[in-house]
Amino acid sequence: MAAAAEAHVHVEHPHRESFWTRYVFSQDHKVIGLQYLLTSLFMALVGGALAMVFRTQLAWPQSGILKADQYLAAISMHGTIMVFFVLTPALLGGFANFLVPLKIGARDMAFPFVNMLSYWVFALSIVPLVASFFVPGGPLNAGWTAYPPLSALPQAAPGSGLGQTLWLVSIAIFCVSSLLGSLNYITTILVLRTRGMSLMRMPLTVWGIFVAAVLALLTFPVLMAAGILLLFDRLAGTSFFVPGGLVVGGQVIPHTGGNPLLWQHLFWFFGHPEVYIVILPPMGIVSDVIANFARKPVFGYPAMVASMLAIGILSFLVWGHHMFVSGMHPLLGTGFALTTLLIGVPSAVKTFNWLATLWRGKLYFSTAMLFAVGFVSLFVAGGLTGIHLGNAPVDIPLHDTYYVVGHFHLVMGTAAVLGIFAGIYFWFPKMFGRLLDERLGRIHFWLTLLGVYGTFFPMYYLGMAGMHRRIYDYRAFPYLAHLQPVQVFITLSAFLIFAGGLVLAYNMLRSLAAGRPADRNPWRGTTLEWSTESPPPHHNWPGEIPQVYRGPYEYSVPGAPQDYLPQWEPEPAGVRVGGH
Amino acid sequence: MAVTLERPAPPKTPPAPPRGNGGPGGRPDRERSATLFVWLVVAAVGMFFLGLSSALLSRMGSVGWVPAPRPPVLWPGTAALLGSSAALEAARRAAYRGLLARARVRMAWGLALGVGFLAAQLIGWGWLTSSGVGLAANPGASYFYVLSGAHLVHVVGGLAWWALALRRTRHRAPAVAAVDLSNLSVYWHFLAALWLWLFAVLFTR
Amino acid sequence: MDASPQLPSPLEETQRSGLSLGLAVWLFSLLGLGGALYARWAWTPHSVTREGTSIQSLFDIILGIILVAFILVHLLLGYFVIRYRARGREAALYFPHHTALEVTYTAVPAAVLVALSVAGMVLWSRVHAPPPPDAFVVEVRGEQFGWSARYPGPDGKLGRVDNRIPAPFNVDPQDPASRDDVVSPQIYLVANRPNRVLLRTRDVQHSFWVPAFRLKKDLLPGATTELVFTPTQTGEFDLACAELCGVGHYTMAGKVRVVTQEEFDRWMRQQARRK
Repeated sequence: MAAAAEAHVHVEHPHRESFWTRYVFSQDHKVIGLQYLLTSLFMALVGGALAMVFRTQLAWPQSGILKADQYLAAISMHGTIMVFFVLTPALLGGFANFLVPLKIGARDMAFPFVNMLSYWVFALSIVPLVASFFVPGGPLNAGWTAYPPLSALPQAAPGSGLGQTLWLVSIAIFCVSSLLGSLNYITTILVLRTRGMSLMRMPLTVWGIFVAAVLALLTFPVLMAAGILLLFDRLAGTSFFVPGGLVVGGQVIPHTGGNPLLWQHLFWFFGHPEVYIVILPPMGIVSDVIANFARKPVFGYPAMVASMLAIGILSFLVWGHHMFVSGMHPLLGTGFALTTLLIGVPSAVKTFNWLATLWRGKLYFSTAMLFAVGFVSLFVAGGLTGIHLGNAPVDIPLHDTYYVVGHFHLVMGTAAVLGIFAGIYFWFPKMFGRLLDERLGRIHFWLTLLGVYGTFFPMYYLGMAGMHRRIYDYRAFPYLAHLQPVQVFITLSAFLIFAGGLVLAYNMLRSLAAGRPADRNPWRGTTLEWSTESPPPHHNWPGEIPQVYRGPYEYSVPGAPQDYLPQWEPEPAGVRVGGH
Repeated sequence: MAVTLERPAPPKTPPAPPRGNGGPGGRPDRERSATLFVWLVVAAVGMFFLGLSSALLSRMGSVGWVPAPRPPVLWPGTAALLGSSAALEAARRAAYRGLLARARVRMAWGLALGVGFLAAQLIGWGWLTSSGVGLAANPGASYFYVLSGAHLVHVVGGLAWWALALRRTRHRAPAVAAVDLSNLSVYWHFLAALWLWLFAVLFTR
Repeated sequence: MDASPQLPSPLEETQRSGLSLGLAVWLFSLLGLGGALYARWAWTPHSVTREGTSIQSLFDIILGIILVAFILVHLLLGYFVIRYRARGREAALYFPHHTALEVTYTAVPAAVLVALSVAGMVLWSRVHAPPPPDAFVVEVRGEQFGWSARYPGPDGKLGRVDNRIPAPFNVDPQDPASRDDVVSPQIYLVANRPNRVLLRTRDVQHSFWVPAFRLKKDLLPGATTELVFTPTQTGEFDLACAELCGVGHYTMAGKVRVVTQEEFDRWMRQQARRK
């Protein structure tokens, strides 16, 4: 409502530039984007540090660096932070805010005030999450999926006390923030495109963000509904998820008649689209980066758009593949297995399109490009095993093992992270007017790539060996105890990833202060953000908003005076541009 | 909402001012944005209630389901909500014909009826609680309190917007007021329809 | 508007050689392949149930397919990265579309995936076939943090249980069917006949996971789930809880003993005598 009102009041306030309105409570989409991005990167260090600690525990279980409940708290918070407070806000927050208006030719988001609000609500949602570290019992123990009754009953685990309540509060606030953001991205993309910017001329990053925002808009409310029901079960004694007749720790539980499967249905109805929320924008980013550094149009642009839409639609119909062994009716399993395998088809199309874009390109290996190629490799390495896991009977022995951990970390965890890194190296000059250091960038890349391969590929092997998830110590299982050297290898590899993150942090700080200055279009790109100054002024273009004349990837057009035809330049004489 | 696939390039426009949301067209963009915003809010709120009511439907189908007793005041409350929806529709039509004064009277009536619905819901809760049916008393009661409560939160938001819109019509051009009203009515009619759905599902035996 | 770049592009100075990246991608894919084959051969438990063996065969078929796809994509990726580095004035090929190519690489994965999906559905319905009436029945109960089992005794019926009843295994002593039930911390299964394992939890979710069976199933609070399968080998196999169930989740290690019918009958007679 505030937004509707805001949209009507003709805002023509003078441009005040106090420190607070410029950097803190700014309504400028670029500042908000950077706030989101930097907050997420900071949270990535927190989530990463947690991983380093629990990986140490796993590699050397005899060390006892964590107690069992601390271990569960660490893995649960790692998952929560990485999904909700790193990947989602960095992409549908950081990049979406910074890039959408610049790429579609708008002065700002459709609702700048709502935009500011969404960031600060997001910041607010971090408070209860962090607070849960300091309450009796510590943070939640139930994993980021928080299955009841474990998450519903304080008797069930130390972290199922106040820590779990704070987690739910935090996630509910986060849902609100995410909704405010998605409303803004969708509206901005549909309404505020500049002249000539038809939907099929939008860069794929914008397409990825658009589809992701639609998914977020339609699925976060369901998570919120589930979270509210669970809060009632915890605090008001209702029985939405907790069945009758349970005895926990010798205590008879008074609840009756709830259904724990209901939580799984609601959670995964959100949870599966969520993985596409965090992978579709990186798919777009990687397409932009590969086209730019291969100096070649993205191969099959319409197929790229269509596959994003197909992934978006199918993602609503696959949630049950998380529940093949849950006791759900077997007939449902058949349906979910079919939709899950179908969603592999658009994913395959995208991979082949990236390969075809590289073919006979003119490849420049800037750090952004290295990360983009790394993304393709990880997406394939992680995505293919989805064919195992999506096949209902084959999932039976693999479900809840490290096979799954390896799969999702590669395909949507680290692949999305590599997409984010590619985006940071690519757009840093647009954000700050200075380039990131390429030598440090390459160090960052190699640490990350080798670390990721070394960390997550062996997890497949552990999964084949039968190692189940979320165990603090595997030495009671003889078929796992002898694999401790693999655990050590994984942990050492994970250290490399974290070291890479520190190199990035150093690189960003150093380059902010003393990086090489960048002009408005350092990478000789074609999309609209490169037509304005670096960094762009408030309201993005000092003069008129540029008009768009062609598709987003007109590189190496035969007969053109240079190897890129920007979207904003009128047709040069004698050049026929194909495509759109 | 009109979502064009290809934006036609309008005839030469003077340079856009450097500030504001200036896509081409200025104000129409704002109006389109606001309308789209409301529809998106409706979609999101709809998904929220879809989640809750699918939980309810699955619970109703299983053993041990006890429906909540129906507070009698819900009937007049529901009538008030429908009346407020009708009044809003009448106000919107008046505003479109430029009859702002008439629109304001109808809005005030509708707003009063909306507040009546709010009051009826609160009375209904009171009735239920005083007859010993609390939040955790039985599954039907739990779902009734949670669903009607969540609905009521959205109603309160709608009433606040409504009051704001009523105040704003005083110094608004009729055309602007009409757009504002039609956005509000999208949201309010949705809430009315949503209540009918919840009412039907909750008290079907 | 002057939109022309003012500074020399860093593009011209970026690294041109994709050799290290290409080699890394190749090396990774080969090591990944080798590791996967080794893990399959050396670390994956040998299936000791009929259903698990079928699952494992489908796993192997898919593993073959995805390893081929994995290697092919990485060979191409590495080759393109090495081969098409920017050189001199040579321009990239302007190649935005090729319908036949795109249709091919949509149709081929779609066909493969649908075929695998059908194979999966057939196997899925076999794994979930209703248990034959003469199946060996055992009830396994999980709780924080351990396992126990109950056997129906000569009447073939399991008596009523209620977690709130303070009796061993919470069996209702009033129910006549429960009188001959045998409760034990030992989980026995009988080889070479269909076994019906009823799964029940006393508190939160658990998951019955025997790696050598290649089967698992969640224990769902408020409901009874089941696994139906035929063990093909006798022996003692490791049991784990695969669903996070609290602080002691990692301690829920157990054993399942698959024995011959005679051995089981002998054991049951001992139990009955002790009772």
